[in-house]
Amino acid sequence: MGIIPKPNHSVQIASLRLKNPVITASGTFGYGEEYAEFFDLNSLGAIVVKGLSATPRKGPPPPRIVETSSGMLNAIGLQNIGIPAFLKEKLPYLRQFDIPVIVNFFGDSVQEYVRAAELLSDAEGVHALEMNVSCPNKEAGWCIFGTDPATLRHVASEVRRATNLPLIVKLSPNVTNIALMAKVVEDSGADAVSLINTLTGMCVEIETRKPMLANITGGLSGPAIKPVAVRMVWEVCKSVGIPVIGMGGIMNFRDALEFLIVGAKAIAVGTANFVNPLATIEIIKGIEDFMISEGINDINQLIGSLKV
Amino acid sequence: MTKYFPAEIISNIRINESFHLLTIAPLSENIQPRAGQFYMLQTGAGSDPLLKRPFSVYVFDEKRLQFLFRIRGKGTSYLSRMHVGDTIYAIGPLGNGYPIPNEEFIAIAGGIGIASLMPLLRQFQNKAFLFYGARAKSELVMLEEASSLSKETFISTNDGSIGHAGLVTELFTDFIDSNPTFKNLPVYCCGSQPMLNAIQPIAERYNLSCYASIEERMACGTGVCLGCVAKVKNEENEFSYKRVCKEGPVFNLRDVIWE
Repeated sequence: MGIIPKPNHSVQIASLRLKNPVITASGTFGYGEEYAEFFDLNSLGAIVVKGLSATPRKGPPPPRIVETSSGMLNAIGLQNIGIPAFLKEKLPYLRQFDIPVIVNFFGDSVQEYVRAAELLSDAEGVHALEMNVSCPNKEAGWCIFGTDPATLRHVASEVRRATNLPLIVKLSPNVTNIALMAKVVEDSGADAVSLINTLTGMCVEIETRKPMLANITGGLSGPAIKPVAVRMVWEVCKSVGIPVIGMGGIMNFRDALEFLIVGAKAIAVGTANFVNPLATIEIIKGIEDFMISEGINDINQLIGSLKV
Repeated sequence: MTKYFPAEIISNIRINESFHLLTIAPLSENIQPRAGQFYMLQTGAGSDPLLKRPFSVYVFDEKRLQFLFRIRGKGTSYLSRMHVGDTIYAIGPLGNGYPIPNEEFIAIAGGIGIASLMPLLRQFQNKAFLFYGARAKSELVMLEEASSLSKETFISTNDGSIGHAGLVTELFTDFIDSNPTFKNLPVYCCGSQPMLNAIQPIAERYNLSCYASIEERMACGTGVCLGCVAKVKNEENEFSYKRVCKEGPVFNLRDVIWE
């Protein structure tokens, strides 16, 4: 009678060791405090906090959200307390947990990205940076950083030089060829990519002829976008050598497994947190149970196991 | 004790064409709410509708929670069709709730806004001067109960089917204009944005302590998504976007800036 070894759920993203592949998606988990009321954050693979900039942002006016068929459209955008306030008021709280804290950040110029990365790099308790490139560049007519390969290369390379922390670049799906964007990011020296950010969308109220969001357009998330996300993660996994973090509409462990099977090393749960504050830990449990029932003793055997 | 729990539907009564009264019994130990707090309730079985919807708690005790709601969209329509014995998931209690009145107070309800104010009327019986307005008599839902819990009730309907023909804010203005001593009473209000908008200058003019429960579309209800913000004056006399689900839903009405 041999002892059955406990299956391995841990994965490696650059220098980060995650005890399981389940991460929270930026903007859906605040700075951790709110959901610590519901479960022990130590159960997570890692936590990604709400996107931060060097200085605080008020964000766009309401209404900021509207529900769509199996999804939600949001223009919550970039409201945040600013990196100095985060380091002073929020980070000390997160240090008590034994999980990697990944800080999502952005800027509206290359200098602001660099400044944000520098401010975060020396802080104790920040384990990696996730760079949001789905925001507009004020120096280039407000075009989106993440949709132009040359701009993306420039900003990613500059940030790479500014930090020694593992650098994850979160890709925008609002491009013609996302694999090309991932390649650009890899060539710029990033340690990993995460995708997908939200898909740009729009809703109109027919009686008033007005857009349903004050910002007119917003980002679509939720189960409606999952097949698009899985396809994009698959394409990116085929074209880069750096680890890929997959996300987009993951509601349960079955959704999560799709992303792992097409090659994602880890997955992030976003909108599902709003519906069910326990979504992440239910997904972790679901993956573990699936591995046991399928006789898989290492999660890495599942990753990239797609049969085509 | 957790704020995320399954609950069994004990009753789901149709009050009239537009209103339902839903009673649920939490299936795990839950936290007692305060007047003016709310719950996010599951309003669908699959992914459409996707998000939970916020509902003010209408009645509560140790074993049950009751919600009065108006059927307005997909979510509330789904909820109205739920059967006794069905299970739904809920998150709550959420939000700040109303500050406790010391003595007598004024309550202003517009239509379904009565749902949020009812726990206050029940907790402080015969202390409220209640101003209750709606479009028509049929929309003055739970009028009898509300008025039996109040010291005095003033009612209005837009179509004049009962009470003052016009707006509840007109009734309130007349009242406060002709009874200046009442301007020391705290005012609690919940209703449409135009109603709150009309109360704001009166509150300003008479320097009233005025607490308004306000509504905004919500995704999480717990403060993480920043989807449900309201524009509120801050200490520096500037504004910031505050979360209706966390810093609200009750705000000092005089600080709220409507977009």
